[in-house]
Amino acid sequence: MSSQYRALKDIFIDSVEKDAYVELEYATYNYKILESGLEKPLKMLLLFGRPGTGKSMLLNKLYHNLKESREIHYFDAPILSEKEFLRRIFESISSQSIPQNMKVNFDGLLKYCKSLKDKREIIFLLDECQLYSESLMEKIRLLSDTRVVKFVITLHKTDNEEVIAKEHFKTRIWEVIEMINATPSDLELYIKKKMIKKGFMEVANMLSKKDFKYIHSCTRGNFRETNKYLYTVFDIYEYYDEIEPHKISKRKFSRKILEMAGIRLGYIHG
Amino acid sequence: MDKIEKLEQRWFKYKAKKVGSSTFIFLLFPLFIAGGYFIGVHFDKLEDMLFNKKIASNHIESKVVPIIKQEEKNITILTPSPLSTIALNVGKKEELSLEPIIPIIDMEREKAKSYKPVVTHHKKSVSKGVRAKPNTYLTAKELSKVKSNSRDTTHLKKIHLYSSSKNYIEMMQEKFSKSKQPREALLLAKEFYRKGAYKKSEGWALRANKIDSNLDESWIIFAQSKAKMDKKTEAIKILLAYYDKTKSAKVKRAIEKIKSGKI
Repeated sequence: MSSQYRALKDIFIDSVEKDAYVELEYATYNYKILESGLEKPLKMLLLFGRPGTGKSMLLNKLYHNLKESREIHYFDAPILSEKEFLRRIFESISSQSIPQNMKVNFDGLLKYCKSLKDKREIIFLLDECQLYSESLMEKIRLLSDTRVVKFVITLHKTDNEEVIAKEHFKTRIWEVIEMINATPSDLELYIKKKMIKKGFMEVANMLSKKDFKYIHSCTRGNFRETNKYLYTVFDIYEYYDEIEPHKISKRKFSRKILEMAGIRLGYIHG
Repeated sequence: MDKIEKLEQRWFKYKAKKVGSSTFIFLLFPLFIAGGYFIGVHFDKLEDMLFNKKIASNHIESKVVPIIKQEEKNITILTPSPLSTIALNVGKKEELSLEPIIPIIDMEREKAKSYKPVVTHHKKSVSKGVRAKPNTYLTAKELSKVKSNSRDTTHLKKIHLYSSSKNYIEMMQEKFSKSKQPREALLLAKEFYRKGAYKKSEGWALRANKIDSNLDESWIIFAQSKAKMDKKTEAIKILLAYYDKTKSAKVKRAIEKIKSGKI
């Protein structure tokens, strides 16, 4: 039995793996907008929302779905050094590696990109762009102006709203997709789908509507928080299952454990 | 393992706190309702209690009591009992009569009304199709009596409901002698008070009070007359004694007026 809860725990380890993606109605809608945006002659697309709303997950899904059909590159971690960033861009476009003692000249890169006009269209997916410097963002803008390179960027809503507001972004980001926190029903679907996907239908059915509401009230519909929360819940379950199995019911989900996890994570003050 | 045990202990504490607070709220809720109901029902009394304290601390203790002690035997006070003159006993609580108070004419209001010509009233009521309310105090016959010399009806229409003529007093006295109603006595008290005949107004207020001791107005006119005759302390004392029983807002205002020297 203990393996059951251990396995359940593992489902909720936070990751942006393709398998971890759960189809939700609003996420599917956003994905379609994003995909159709790439078909249009747009220079940049912006995905923004609060942390844990599924931006990285959506970007990851887009990459895996299009990597066979399109020339697409995914920078899941931000590259803070300008030198390194330009090198990675050039290497991705040219498929050549540059020796460590050499650096990419930006003007040269722009000329190179312009030379590829009407021949190729390269998509770059950049996650966590709020960490990029302003000058680097300006270079990204100039690169997108060549119409050879197209960028899909993600931004944290709170951190970089002023960046979005800046004139050069206003005129260039043509498609803005806002990601929001999940509603209680979305969250219920998300948790159930995750469990059922791994064959834990019985445990998924143990959770009542009230339990889902409680989880939502703790995590506020944030996917990252939900994963963390349920990981903690099943961690506690695992303990009881091994040490004091009489304390847990096999029919009903334990509110006590939900509350204990809430206390441990600081959602409620015990 | 140890972590989970500690976590469980924290959970027990959290649960105890939660149950404790919800029980407290549960117990507090009926108290709030009862409290709200009590305040709603006894709001006036509470307000008056506070007011009483204020008056007691400001005046009675410091100024009034020593004087009263000297004049105690001579003070005339209106009480609900048939005897109008009794020794003053503030601490003694007397039973209150729940008899309805006879509507009293507000002379000030009547005065204000009287500036409007009767003709205009008539016209208005006709145009609106509303029947004019008959005079509750003076009948048409009485009115004609008041101005018996005048035969001009247009003048009659201009007569103010409130009149200071001798005829009015005579007529009211006559009316009182027939009806023995406190209303007439009180009207006369007011009329004399207005004229400055405070001794008479005191007397008529006393008469009205003898018939119905629960008339606030009779107490007020009586005390106001006293105050006008330089017996302010006595007037306040009388009104306080009455206020203690009835908690009437009108009386409270009268006390304040006398205290502030407006009367």
